[in-house]
Amino acid sequence: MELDVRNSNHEPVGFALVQVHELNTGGLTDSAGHISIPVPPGKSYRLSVSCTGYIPLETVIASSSAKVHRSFILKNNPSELKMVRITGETHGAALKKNAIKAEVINTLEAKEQPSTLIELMNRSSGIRIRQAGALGSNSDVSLNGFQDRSIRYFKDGLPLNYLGAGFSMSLIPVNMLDHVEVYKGVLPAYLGADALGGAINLVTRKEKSNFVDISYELGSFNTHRVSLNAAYYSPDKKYFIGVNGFYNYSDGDYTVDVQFPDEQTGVLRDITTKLYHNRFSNYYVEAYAGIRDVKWADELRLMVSGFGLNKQFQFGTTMFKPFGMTHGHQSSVIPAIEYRKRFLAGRLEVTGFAEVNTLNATIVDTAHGHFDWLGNFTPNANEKGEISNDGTLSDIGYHYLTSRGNIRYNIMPAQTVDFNIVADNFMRKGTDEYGKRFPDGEDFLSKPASYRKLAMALGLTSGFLNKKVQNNLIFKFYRYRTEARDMTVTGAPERVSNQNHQWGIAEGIKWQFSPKSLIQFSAETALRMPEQDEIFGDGNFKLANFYLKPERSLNFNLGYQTGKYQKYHFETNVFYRRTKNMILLMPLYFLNSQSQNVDNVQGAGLDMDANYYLTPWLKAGGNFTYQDLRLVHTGNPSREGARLRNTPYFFANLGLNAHFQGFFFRHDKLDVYWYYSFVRQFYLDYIPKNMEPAGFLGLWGNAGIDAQNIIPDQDLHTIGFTYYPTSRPLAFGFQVKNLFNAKVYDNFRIQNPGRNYSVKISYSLFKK
Amino acid sequence: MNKLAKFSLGLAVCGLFLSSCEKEKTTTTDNGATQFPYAILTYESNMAQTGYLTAFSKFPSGAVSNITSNSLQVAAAFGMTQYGNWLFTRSSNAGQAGIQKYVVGSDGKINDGGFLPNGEMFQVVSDDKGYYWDPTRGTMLLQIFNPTTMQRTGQIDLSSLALPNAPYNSVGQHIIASRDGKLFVGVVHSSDMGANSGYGDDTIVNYAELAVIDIATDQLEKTIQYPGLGSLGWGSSGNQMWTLGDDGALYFYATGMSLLPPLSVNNSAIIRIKKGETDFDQSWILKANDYQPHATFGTALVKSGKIYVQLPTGPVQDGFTNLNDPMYDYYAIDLNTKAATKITGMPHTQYAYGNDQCILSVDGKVYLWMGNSSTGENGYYRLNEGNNSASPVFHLTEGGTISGFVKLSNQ
Repeated sequence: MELDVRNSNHEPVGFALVQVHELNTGGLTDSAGHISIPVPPGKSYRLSVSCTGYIPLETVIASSSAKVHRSFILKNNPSELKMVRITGETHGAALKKNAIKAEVINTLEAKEQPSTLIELMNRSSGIRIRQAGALGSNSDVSLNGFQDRSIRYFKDGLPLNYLGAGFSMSLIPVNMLDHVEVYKGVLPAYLGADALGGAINLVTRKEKSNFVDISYELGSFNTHRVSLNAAYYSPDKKYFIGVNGFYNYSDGDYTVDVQFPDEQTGVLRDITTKLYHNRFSNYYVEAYAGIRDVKWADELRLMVSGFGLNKQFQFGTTMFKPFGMTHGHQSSVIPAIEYRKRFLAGRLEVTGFAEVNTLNATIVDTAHGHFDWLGNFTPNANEKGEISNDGTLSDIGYHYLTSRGNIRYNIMPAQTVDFNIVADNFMRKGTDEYGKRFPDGEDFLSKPASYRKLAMALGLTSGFLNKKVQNNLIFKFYRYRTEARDMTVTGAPERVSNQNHQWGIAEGIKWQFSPKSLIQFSAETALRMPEQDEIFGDGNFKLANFYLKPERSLNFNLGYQTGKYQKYHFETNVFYRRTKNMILLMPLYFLNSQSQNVDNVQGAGLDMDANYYLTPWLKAGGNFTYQDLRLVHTGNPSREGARLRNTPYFFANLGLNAHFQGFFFRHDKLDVYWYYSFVRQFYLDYIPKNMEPAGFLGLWGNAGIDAQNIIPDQDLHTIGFTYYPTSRPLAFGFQVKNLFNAKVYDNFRIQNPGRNYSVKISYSLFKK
Repeated sequence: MNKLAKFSLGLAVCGLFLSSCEKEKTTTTDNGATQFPYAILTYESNMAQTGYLTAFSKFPSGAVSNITSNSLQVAAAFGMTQYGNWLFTRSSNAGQAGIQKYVVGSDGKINDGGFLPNGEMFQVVSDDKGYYWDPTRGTMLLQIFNPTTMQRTGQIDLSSLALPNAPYNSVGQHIIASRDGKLFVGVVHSSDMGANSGYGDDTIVNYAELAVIDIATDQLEKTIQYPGLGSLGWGSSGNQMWTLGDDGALYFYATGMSLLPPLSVNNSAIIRIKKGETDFDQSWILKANDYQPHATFGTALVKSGKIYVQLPTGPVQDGFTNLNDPMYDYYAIDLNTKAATKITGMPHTQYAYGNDQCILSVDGKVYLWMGNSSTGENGYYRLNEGNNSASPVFHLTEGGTISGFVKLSNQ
């Protein structure tokens, strides 16, 4: 008997149970609603057909011939359960509820949007990433007011340094990531680094099934972004191979408003022109193969990554002066190995990672003249370079050897010990024809400078009251050693070395006092060890400082969150920081500079984030961050209590997301979104406290002095949609950024792109 | 009529008077039309970082804050110079390198008066004429500008003065002075040290050299040399490194500093061109080493037969590691006998650096800058010329270290 089961809309009903009572046999229909049941001919059989959500059906079929074809129509059963919802937590959602809280950016959710990772992160509370231009430009993360080197970056728990600019946040396509963890203040044990103000961990996709995910994005300024992620598992799932890769290209020729000096009079006049030397391209490919579930390993993964990056420089730290020839290049090939094994019935887990690579970086700054904003070149023997008059033709190799080991042991179901160790070996060696030389004429860069750092953490995670209360206690130890050949202030060569070690401690506790709500508290004596260039200088006018102390910060975080699935979510966090010995590059003597422990910063902040489903298909959300971080113990009355300079202190986001099913066709899907981002103006330099804007919390008004060096208010609107046609797995995304073509500045006098468009097509195929 | 035009008209009226005293370090007594005739420029931690420019209605006295509602915050404060009612600094308030003109408004606010990008050392010789050095246009070119409109109007090509065997040549990088219709422009022949070329690396020749240019015709008249010295001046800041004495002579400072290893100070001196002459007075030289080995002259004022200078209490060490330590005293040195008398009544001060008004005369009185990072002193003392003692006049409570203090003259 060949049987087809359909519903009243004549759609196939899969997984319907068909029983032949006389033969005590039967089965389930396939996804096409079909089932084939062998029966002896010449008899009549009583059949019953049933399926969840439908009224069961019974009928009698006479099998008179060799093959019988029949169709059944099942009617809907309005009183029966239609759906069973099984709710669980993603890894990211669970991290958000840990004692040491992570802000989790769910990149997979937005992978079909033509949004950059930076845009996604900027929509979260407490995080502000500033960009200096278009694709490929520098990005600077601010977490609760900490910036630059206070923040550490990781890829799958490993410090990212060895990948240079190849895996920068501004370049990675969201398709490649499973999620991003952002730790504001306190770091968990498995992130081994001396981070003062927080960390960002980029967690890549590690699908356990065969899949292909391809996307292509076309945007304004001749921007092209391609990503490919694919994996293949052998039928027994024992062997696997895969590839992750992306390619970015952009002319970056967006329109800017700049000042153009008249050739004759020298007078600056405002002009609007296109950038002409801002092209950027890069690729990153990571191929891997591995074996799983063998006696000696749960998983062994071998990886080879490679990347290349080419960048033109159109301007420096401001747009005062255009560059027309300077460009840079970076590349590296990185073999790596990762091992994971559980012992003692899964109670003990050991993981290890190791990589070795040489990162080659070149900068060519040999214009011997200067360009104007229209691309005209004026030769000038006195101006060897554009970035600096001295020029640069540097070719530097950065040699990395990075390894990480992690041991996790479940002492008992609610008690886990973590031990994490990260060893970083770094050595710099290169040449620069235009660079500085030792008195004997030897190139300063030709002498190797090495830096070795060890970061260890021992953590205990304990659960109490049926894990409603979770406690994390972590001890941390850091050690570094540096060695280089340097020059004294008088230009004499000297061999120098330095080492230091420090301890840190972190504590976090969470109390989930109801299924919906919890509070979290964490504290850490965080530190950042001085880095190689801060200790040794550059052998030129940036002097060594062997007495640099680590930056120290005492961080407290308190958070509350509550929510109901598909209804609402609310969370708020407050933080307090007291940081001392912040390292800044300071001018010294007559013409030198030196990294010194100078600033002490103290302050608190508040961020709130809320989402609410106005209807089942329309979600509204918003967040804001206010941080009041100020200099203390300066010994300078006009600096004492001044708000941290060049740091956004109030920013907010609003968003609306609508989700439609069956919009054009029966099974299509349409997501429409609007995001608004606001950053309150902030000052490039310190404003004396008594001269700050008088408005409430400084949220409006201007400084009491004539302070014109402002990064102005930023209002940025983004709209877009993602359409999933019936014939999945395709998806189409379209987005308009900076909808109202506002002049946007993240950094002083560096204009970001105006209104720009992008479309993205994605193809995702999974097979179990 | 806009403000600029009004100032221009005023300047034109006073032009004749001013043409005879281009270097207005010794300011006039007439301040009738300027309600805020005093201006202070400060920097917070160093000259390359944030500072404040504030105008005051009265001569500062006692405890003074340089952060008021009239203050302009500037990104850099490498000293300033003054011409009539105008102030000039070496970078825009946003920090862009160039010649920035400011005008003090009737409300005491500091207003933008125009900007010449890339301009470095400069000299205003009249209301509508000034000269500046712009290395992006050429190191052997001297640019001409109109200070009223702050527009470049031309250039003088002095490439004929370059020495073929010198890797680097420049004119006007460190010294541009004027007097009696003549312009005196420093000429440097040095090694190539990239961005630092011309700074104390002029070992190619063993003389200090100036080009003499006729201001009316912009024609090179001649070059003059003083043997045995490195180049005059140090063009990195608003400190012009020369002064016009009340005896009518121009006094130039040779810092003796070298950026060649081991970065030392040697052979600093002050030399002069006497009133009415256009050549060096080869019979007169004031050598710093005669008072303190490895000392350097960075500021001076000539008044009533004396030259007032700063001298360190010990040698400036190699690498300039103690150059900015509070170890300097002021001295009155007799122009003829060269006998030095220490100014008493004030603690040690720091090096003048970019402060062109480190020693200045206002309304006939001599004022001495006092900056001491150790004691926190930061202000000016008034000199009693009768007994060579000084007493405090004002000190700053806010705004940082003083890098310029001027009295504007009436325009």
